[in-house]
Amino acid sequence: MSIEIISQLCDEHLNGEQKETLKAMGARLEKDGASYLEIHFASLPRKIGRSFVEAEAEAKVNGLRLASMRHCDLAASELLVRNAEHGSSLDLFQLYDQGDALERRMILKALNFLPGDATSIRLLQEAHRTNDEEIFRAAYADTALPAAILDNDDFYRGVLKSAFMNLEYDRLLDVAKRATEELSEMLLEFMSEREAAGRKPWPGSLELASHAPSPGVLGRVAGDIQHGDDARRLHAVRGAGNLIRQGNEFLVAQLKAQGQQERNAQVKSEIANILSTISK
Amino acid sequence: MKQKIFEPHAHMFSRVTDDYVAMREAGIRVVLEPAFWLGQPRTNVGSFIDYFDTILGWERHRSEQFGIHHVCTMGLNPREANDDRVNDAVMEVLPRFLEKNSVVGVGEIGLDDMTEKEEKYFEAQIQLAIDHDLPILIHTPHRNKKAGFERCLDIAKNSGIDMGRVLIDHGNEETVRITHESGAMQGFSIYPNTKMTPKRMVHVLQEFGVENMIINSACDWGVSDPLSVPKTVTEMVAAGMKTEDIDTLVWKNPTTFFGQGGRGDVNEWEAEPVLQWTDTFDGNSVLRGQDPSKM
Repeated sequence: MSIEIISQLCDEHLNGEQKETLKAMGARLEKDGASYLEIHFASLPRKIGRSFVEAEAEAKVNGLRLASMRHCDLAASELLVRNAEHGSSLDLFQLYDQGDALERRMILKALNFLPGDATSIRLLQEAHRTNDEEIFRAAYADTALPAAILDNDDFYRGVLKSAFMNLEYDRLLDVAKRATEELSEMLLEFMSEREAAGRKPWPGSLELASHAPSPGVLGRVAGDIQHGDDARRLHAVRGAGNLIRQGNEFLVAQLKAQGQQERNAQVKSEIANILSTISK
Repeated sequence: MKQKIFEPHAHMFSRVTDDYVAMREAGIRVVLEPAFWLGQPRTNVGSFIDYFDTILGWERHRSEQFGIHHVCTMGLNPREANDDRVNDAVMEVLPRFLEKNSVVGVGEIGLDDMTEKEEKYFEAQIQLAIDHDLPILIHTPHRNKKAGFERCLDIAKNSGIDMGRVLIDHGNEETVRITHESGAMQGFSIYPNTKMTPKRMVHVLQEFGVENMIINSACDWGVSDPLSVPKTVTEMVAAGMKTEDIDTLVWKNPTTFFGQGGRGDVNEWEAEPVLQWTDTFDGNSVLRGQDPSKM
């Protein structure tokens, strides 16, 4: 647990009034125990505020992007960590179950500062069942927690649900570290299923699949490098970079050709970066 | 410009989407949904929990989809306060619901058959309102109304709650004489055939003024009219009442009263609600598969 870390974050990012409110709530928690949180946890967005923390886009703490935290998320994290340090009997799953979207979000964000134990895993599994994008994002976007604590089956479900919810690939932290051929195969099947239904597949599919490619990934990447959709082309180009680094050098010529005719600035720059890295 | 209306008592859980459309068209910007009796007894606390969650969640979303802000009050209604299968268990879960952000009061609480049990849970819930810094919405008996009003007022006065935080509802020409000097907000339900009519209401307002007065439709699963507040506004205009008084009655009084616990955001209520057909609640939409761009 990281009471020092979360306390320091609260100190840095909450204003004087918010800190006073949090201090008073901490004192009540100390006095009344877990029952205080069971009743008053819902009031945090109202009492502390729900605006987002101002931070650099890539600034991370405990594998969590700080800019994805609301002020009430910070306060909730501190109270929940404090409560856990006192060995309290609070049933975190019940608190989640009884909460609205903002309350659930606060709990999922706080997991990044709590021990990654069975309760954390159960809550990520539960969050995986929701179709509420804000709740799902709190669990799976801008955090390395799912990649750190879920077993393969749960992790694959989380990635596929992220694809289903169309979360941005770059917001799924550390997913590449957990790439396997089995996951790659699942992603390819999901792409095919979407295409067969006339729907757009998740743009990040091939980039992730290319980290541990299953049969078929190479061909799909080669084809998507020229795809008409910018997002899909960008991730295919990145996927090609991964495959080239794994020894599939024939993709270099294709990337060069695409680089010459590429009109999208971001894709063009990505191709240039990959080619310059390879040439070194 | 249409008069802005805060409808302070409507059980939208029991209404259809056409009602929301008509209410917005008639100027209703905010609707308050008091927790109430569902027409038949509930047999366990789980039914209450799911109902409370619905008026905090899906119903709020449904209302906002039609451009109307939605708030609610929470409470154990007097009718079911008599039911030992649920009363204590509901009291046990109420505190956590009273801290939810869209809960602006404790209600409907009060008396129905005027039993000892009703009084016990009424008093306990006034104390909850004090503890959670919220105003109360009192349901009064439909039978023996005058005695019911007097008893409700006595209980409220003896509880120690600030009478400015008390709304005593379902009043009429008879009860207004009891409540007028009490310091409590007085509520009148404009209801077809029973309770008050728009015309009768105008007469009451002409005699007693608009200070500490609130009108509502109390629309529910019965024969009731969700547009009875705007219809009363029309009647007030026809009777030559001042625009300022109408605004006080249907906007300033309810927003001030229910804003007392610091839960309601008056700036948000003031803002023109925006229809967001693409929004969902846990992935569920009121559109039932219809194309948002064609709405």
